[in-house]
Amino acid sequence: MNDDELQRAYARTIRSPSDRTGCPEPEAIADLAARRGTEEARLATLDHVMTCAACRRDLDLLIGADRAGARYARPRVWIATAAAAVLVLGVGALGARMLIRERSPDVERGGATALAVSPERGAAVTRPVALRWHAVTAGAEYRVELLAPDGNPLWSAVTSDSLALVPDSIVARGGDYGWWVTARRADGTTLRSPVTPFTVR
Amino acid sequence: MANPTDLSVPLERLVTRFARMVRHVGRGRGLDDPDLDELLQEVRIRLWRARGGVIGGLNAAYVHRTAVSAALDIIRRRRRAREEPIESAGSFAGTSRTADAAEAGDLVERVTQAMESLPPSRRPVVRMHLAGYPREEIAELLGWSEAKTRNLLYRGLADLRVALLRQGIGPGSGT
Repeated sequence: MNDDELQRAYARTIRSPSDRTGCPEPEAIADLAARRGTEEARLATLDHVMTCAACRRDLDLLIGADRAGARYARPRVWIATAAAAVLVLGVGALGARMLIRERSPDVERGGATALAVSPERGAAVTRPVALRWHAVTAGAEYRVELLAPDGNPLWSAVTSDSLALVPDSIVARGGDYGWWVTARRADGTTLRSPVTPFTVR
Repeated sequence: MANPTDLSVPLERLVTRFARMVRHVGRGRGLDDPDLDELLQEVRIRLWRARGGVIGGLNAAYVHRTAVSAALDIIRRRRRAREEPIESAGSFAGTSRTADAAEAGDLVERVTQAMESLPPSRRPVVRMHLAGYPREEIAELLGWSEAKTRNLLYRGLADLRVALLRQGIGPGSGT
């Protein structure tokens, strides 16, 4: 069998478990990515990781973070920040005063308005723009979205935290924005805040 | 904490620089954008929270540690959330439950057995190679020289081919 045939055959053996109890601990995969611990232990971890799609995703993320961090430590090659700023977003076409559509919470209304904390409705803030909300329950996941005045999403993040920082490049021009957050509890139910308009000075 | 505006510029400069590296490394590794975005958001928050007004004074080792610990926390969180199964490249989606599926299942079983028969020092290297990782990356991950990696990989592949032949799997076996 040639390599292609072997690879195709091997791909069929990769598992995608929904139950991770048989998988190595995240710390063991982190040790593998960082080349910590004995070779025997790392080979054993690697042997599992390469048979498991979920563990491979974990390893790739850890290697990505580790290698990017290592590259960060190298002497920097300066690239003009102006060019980067131009590349980021073509937001110049934004209208000056467009209305932000109020999207009514369509998932759960009770308490939803209390989910979002800051910026408050109509607030004027400076960068960095920190979006804060109340945590609902332990284990909840939050999706936060920053919207253009016409309601189109400009940026989003998924986190288990009750805080998200909007990259400066997204709000570099300042002006009017809106934001909302959707909490997804561990039991699958969701809670969504209304859109809160605010201004970046 | 420092004036937020004073903090914004050095934080963004740092995160932008780090983001370039994460995306460069991440794309090479086949990481998808949601994974990279999640990592960057975690790193941004941690640096913002941890260092207040002294972002400009962060050293590279600190940023490195922050990135790795952020990745680790993302993984822990996913496991707690019992994520949905990821569809593997070789899944049988679309295959009808016929004799073909049974045959495919049999092939998986035989390939798995052949792989298990390899020596533990060679098996993970062969797995990485067949999963598409380049040899240089295998060597880097294991801290091996290129020569050692090549040697163990080729011996392992030879072992695997022999084991597969014993299982009745050779060229043109319908893989």
